Amino acid sequence: MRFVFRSVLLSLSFGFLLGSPAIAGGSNDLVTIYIPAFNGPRELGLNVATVLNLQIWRTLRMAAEHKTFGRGLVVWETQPLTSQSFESADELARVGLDLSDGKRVYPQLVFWGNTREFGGGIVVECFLSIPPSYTGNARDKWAVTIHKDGIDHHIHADLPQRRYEFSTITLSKDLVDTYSKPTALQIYPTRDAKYPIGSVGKTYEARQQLDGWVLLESDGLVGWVPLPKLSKNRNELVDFVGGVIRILRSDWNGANALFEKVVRNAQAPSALKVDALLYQVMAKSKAGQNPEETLQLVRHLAPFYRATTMYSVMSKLDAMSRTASEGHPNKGTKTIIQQIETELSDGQQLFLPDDPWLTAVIQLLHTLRTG
Amino acid sequence: MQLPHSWKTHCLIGLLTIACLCPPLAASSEENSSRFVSKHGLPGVIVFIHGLTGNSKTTWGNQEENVYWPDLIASDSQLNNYFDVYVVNYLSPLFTRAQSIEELTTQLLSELNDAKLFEQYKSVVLIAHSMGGLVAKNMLIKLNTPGEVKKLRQVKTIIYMGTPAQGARGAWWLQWFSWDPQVKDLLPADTNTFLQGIDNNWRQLIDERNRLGEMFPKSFCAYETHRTKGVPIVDRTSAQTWCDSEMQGMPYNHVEIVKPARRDGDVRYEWTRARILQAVPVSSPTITESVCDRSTRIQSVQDNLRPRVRVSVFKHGGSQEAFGQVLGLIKDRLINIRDKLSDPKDGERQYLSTLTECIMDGSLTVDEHTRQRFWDDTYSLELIDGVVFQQPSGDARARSTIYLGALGGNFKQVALDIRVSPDTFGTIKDLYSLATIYALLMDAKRLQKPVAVRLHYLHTALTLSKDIRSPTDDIKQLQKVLKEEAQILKAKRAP
Repeated sequence: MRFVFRSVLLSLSFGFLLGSPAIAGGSNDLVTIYIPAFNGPRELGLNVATVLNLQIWRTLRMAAEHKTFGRGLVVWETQPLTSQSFESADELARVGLDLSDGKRVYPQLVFWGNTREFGGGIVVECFLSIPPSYTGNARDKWAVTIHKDGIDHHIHADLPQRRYEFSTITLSKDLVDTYSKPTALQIYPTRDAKYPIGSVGKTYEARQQLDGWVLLESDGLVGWVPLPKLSKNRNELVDFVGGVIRILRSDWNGANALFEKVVRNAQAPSALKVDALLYQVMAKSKAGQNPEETLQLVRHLAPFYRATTMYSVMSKLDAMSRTASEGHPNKGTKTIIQQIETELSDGQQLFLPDDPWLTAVIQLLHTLRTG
Repeated sequence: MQLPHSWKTHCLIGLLTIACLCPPLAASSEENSSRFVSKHGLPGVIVFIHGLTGNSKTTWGNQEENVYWPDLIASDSQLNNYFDVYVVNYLSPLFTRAQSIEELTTQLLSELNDAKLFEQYKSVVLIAHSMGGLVAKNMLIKLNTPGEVKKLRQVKTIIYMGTPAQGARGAWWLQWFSWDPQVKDLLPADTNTFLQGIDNNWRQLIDERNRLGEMFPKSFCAYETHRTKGVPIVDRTSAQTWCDSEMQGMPYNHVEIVKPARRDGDVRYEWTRARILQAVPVSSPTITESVCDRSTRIQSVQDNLRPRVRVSVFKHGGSQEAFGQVLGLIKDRLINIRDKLSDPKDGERQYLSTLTECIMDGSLTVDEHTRQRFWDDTYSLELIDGVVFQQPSGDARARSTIYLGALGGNFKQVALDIRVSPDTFGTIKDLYSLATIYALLMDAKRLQKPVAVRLHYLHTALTLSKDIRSPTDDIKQLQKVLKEEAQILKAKRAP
């Protein structure tokens, strides 16, 4: 994983993490995330975003058995978004980012936020935008292909949502005092060293993580940085953002594990839990597991949610596609079609009449029946 | 006690005071009773309270112009669509035995309660002359108890016209000629513990009002600058008390100060009317024209088919800094709601993009009638009215009302009362969001938008409502309404 400081012409080497700077190459596991400094008091916003950035990065190891973090790019900006809104985050992703090495990237994720004075303390608001893919890369969709009579029928379901808000983090006074200083994130030569050798500068490259510490290189210094907990309770944002990144990298088991943490987090907002469950439905389906139990939970929590119906149908289509690819093209097809029709009948009012996904599924069902 | 330097002079003052305070002519017994001058079931009432030796008729009547002040108000188009008018009468003879101010206070309070003024009217305005101001002030002090404070807040303003808050010098001499204990109650405050007590309690009441971030009651004070038959009755020093604006000197004597000759061009009337409207801005043209553009107002039937997009935020009193923090939260919330609900698949993007254009700072009375009118006039989605104030402990507390007008059906407003601290940030955010999304849902229903759009809002609101910990009664009610709405839409979903 590489961190790029956009404002300075600088090209960092990827070391063992990336191997090649072919950012726009479209490799399967490449995910670009843009993290501008958080809005708010200058150093505090910057340092809080740095800590969250590194915490998210720690979740990116592709799977427990792999030592690689996979290919990824974190575009790091010391200035906050000019306008604190999802729209402006999406617009930024549409236009793209010019890196210091002259390349232009289009982030799939924008993680942004505010540090805000409120009621005598400081609170941190965090948001995640998953902008629509403007470059034609359809990895941010649940795609299923059904083969019928020599023709491939493609169905794409969009992500449940593309704009997320996380529970607020309240910073303790100690943390505010500490992270309001530019030298807040200190680098130690070893994890048990008493004295730091410097502090994290505006650019850095993270290399390794171990027990709450990150090994990184910044401004020529290589050393360990302890990552503090920003809140007493485990915040769901790191798990959720990490889960989304894994979904975009098709790391289904990894995604499932991280979203499970979100679901089990008592502090997480209900809206996030619902979507975490839906991502789990997707991940389980893709991993060949039965997602029905998870679907039951979502139906109970969000009966009026369009994505609940969509993901339920998609899981059934996925199962149908998988069975066919295993050499049993007609096994259980009739039953699945009936189940999907019931599902659509119940949930039809959740969709506008010209909804493209609904239209495509109805058309597919018609083809499957008549065929 | 130090006697005045000139016995003769002060005897003269006492006698002239008697002459000044004597009622000119006795009115009929019907006119000399407490009564409604106009009663149309309006939201507010203006109550006239006369002073020593006065009565409900002669005190307020200008014989030369044949004008009666309560009648002027009852026919004033700026006031008469909001206020009924009530005049109080009580016995106040100069020489014979009567009730003390304390007793009159109890009587006045009973009378207003018996007349169900506090039950019938949301806004009460008191106009009091001379000693009547002390009776009224004492009544408000008595209402400043946990059980009665609601009534106190219903009194939007008290207007003191020549009220001797610090006593009247003439009373020192009058006491030798009069059996009326009211006269003794009017002795100069430096030797009058009764007046000292009232004034101290009044200051305490105002301090408490300000500390709690309450707006009401407001108080305004006027005094006469002319002598009455050569004698100063209630001059600036005598009238001195806590007032919400500079004391107003009026170029009249003690009797004339409450006898306006006409509505326009008469400072007595115009100043009083302006103070009433300052406390209760019953007509809002100045507000509506100063904010946003007028295109938000309904010009035709087609206009009524437009979505409501305007959100107005009003501030009144309290801590500027803390309010700024809450206002910042509300503004960001609206942008956030707009962005999160703006799913292009729903065709709602443009509609919601205008949601935040009409946020404003300003002040609006908490009176519901005015809100209703403002909400109608400006074609609003919701009005957010609130105050953030510091508690004695140093914590800030936000008290706010989110007014949804007709959109809410029977559920017109959501009241919030919550400590402002980093720990409650998320809850405050969710509460404002929930009310706004509910308003959008109900507006979508009014406009008969596709069920898919309404379900999208409903899902968002229901999910959000699950995260609100320790919901207030209002929020519980809102959650109930959302569930009912879900049942209705669910029925529509059934094949």
